[in-house]
Amino acid sequence: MTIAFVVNGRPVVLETDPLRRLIDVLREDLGLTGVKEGCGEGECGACSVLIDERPALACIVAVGAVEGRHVVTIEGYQERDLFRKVASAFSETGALQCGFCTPGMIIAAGALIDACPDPDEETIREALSGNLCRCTGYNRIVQAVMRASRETKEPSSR
Amino acid sequence: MAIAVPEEERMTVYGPFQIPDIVPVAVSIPLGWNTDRIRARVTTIGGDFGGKMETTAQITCLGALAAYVTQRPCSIVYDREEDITTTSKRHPSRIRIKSGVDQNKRIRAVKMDIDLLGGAYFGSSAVVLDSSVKMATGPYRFENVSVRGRALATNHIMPGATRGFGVVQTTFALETHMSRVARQLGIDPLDFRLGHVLKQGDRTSTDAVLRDQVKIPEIVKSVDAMSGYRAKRGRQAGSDATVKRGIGIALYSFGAPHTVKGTLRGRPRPLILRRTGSGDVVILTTITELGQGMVTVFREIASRILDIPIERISMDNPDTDRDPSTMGTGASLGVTLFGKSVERGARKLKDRWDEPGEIEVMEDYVEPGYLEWDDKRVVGDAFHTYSWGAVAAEVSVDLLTCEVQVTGVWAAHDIGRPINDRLAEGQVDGALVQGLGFGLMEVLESKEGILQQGRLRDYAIPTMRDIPAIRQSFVINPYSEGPFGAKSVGEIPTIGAAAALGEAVADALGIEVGRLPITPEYLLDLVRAKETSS
Ligand code: FES
Ligand code: FES
Repeated sequence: MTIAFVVNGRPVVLETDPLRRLIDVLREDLGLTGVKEGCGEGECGACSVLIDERPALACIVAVGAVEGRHVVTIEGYQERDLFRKVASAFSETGALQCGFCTPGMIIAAGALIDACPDPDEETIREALSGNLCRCTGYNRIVQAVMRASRETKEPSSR
Repeated sequence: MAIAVPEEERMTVYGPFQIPDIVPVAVSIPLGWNTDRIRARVTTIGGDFGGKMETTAQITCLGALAAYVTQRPCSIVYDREEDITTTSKRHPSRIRIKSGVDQNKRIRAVKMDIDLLGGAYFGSSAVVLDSSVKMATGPYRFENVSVRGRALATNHIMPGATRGFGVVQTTFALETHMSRVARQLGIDPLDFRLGHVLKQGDRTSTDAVLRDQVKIPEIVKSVDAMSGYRAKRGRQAGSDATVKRGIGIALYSFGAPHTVKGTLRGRPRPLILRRTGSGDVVILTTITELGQGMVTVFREIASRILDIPIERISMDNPDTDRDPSTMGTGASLGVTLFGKSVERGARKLKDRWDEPGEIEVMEDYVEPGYLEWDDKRVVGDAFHTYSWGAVAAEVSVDLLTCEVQVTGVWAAHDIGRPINDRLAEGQVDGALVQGLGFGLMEVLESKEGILQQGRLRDYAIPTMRDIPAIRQSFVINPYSEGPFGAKSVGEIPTIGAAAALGEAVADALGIEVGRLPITPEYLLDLVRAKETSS
């Protein structure tokens, strides 16, 4: 079946089985390996992408369901100003170790800051609780998200 | 994950190998080839924590066989369920402790009986048990010690080296035991433990003299200042009818590196520093970056000695064709032992810096000359040195659901003088949370040899919501033999969290916890047993 959608701003037309997982299409057909598979069942958040600007888990979405929609992976997200702020807060805070959870964390953190520009610690822990990290103990991730949200409030000071 | 690519007379395998050097040996067996026909290249590893030591070599053998048969590149990728069911786990264990107390309320003798369930394969059980036994008495000095350690063959979970290396289990047992004894004697459990702590010049259970200062009192003071442990302890149990609060503390230590004459068995483990013609420096070694920051730390050490920017120093993922065989890292060896090799190599390179063209320096690790080890009698310096720590955990326990929520974590460690504070603190944060997960929620059962939790849906690890903010400090105590005074940090912060949790729950409910993880089901049993007995 022919499926047409937009990935990172580029139109994509694929001849494929609509029941294939979006994560497989993104990683294998389109080479977007920033989308990570941590569990394959919606438990870990490593495969987080944006579908029509809302965070979604690419491992539990069938590619047929994104027909006509806009998908953004970490590769496309990199172009955004918010990405730069979140990513630099992550690296300056030391909010990653092995880095496997990081693309999903950044997408989820960005979506949180978009929805709630000044989250407190509890809001962050609640909002990102669907993103697992085995390495950092989350401490510095929470600090990084707070830092990024502070920096988005001071427009382009850096 | 593994990829095998057949070439004319050879095969190149790619994967997240913690110890790349063992992979050609493993793959050579099913192929019936000499090891020099196999080249192992390490991909970016992700987290490891011990899980990518033996099992990655096994998976690679399957990939290599497929490539051999098809004569085409083959990759094997496990999904999470395949991964959980086939890779190694922390050793389940049963530990019995008996101690003799004199009329001055001091422990005079301790007898420990350690059983690790070793699964069906021998694997890492010997080295893990080795650590369990040698570190069994933790940070304490007892005049008379008897430790028996056994790894038992079972048809259950396949265990292997896992962060904390057999000392998480013994620490939970010993801390719990000592606190219980203190309560029976009517003494404050922390004071009782502090009264038994090792001091500089004391002898460990293997009769090694502690050459360096033991700063456990300072460590405990730091944790108390951050957590308010002493003010909170024992005051919170009655606070609310259905939600009880409690706080607990654990003291612990971890010996590293193992002495070569003992556990490491003296094989050479060299690394190379090469200054290229353009003046950049390349570090060549099969020591792997497992997310612990090893590459950054090695580059930082070389950069400080050579006085050149860190950007000019590189260290790529290992390749067994290119790199000298350093036999990977593990058991918190990396910084203290091999970081020191980098330091010495960099000094030699610096002396020769004015020579033209490419310069290469090969450097093997060196053990401090004063270390002695008698393997037959199991006496002497089992480890080069020790890192020390304490952690306090605060909990609230809902009496209706018996759920435990961790509400505070505070820790202090002596890891010598950290080379990179931010990386070291990151190691501590992550290790503490792994320890809490182990102590609180990570249930893994095996029925008739079959794992009952094969996915992240039923094997729950801590999420952000399960964990509070962590506060921590380092008590600086430079180690003269370590690079820039550093000791090991990788394993130690994993060790005490579960024990502190057990003490916190004991404080909240006035019960004795004897098992991990402290699930609601287990706690309900304890609470019911207490109700019927009173
Ligand atoms: S891989 Fe999609 S949530 Fe884990
Ligand atoms: S940094 Fe390794 S899983 Fe988050």
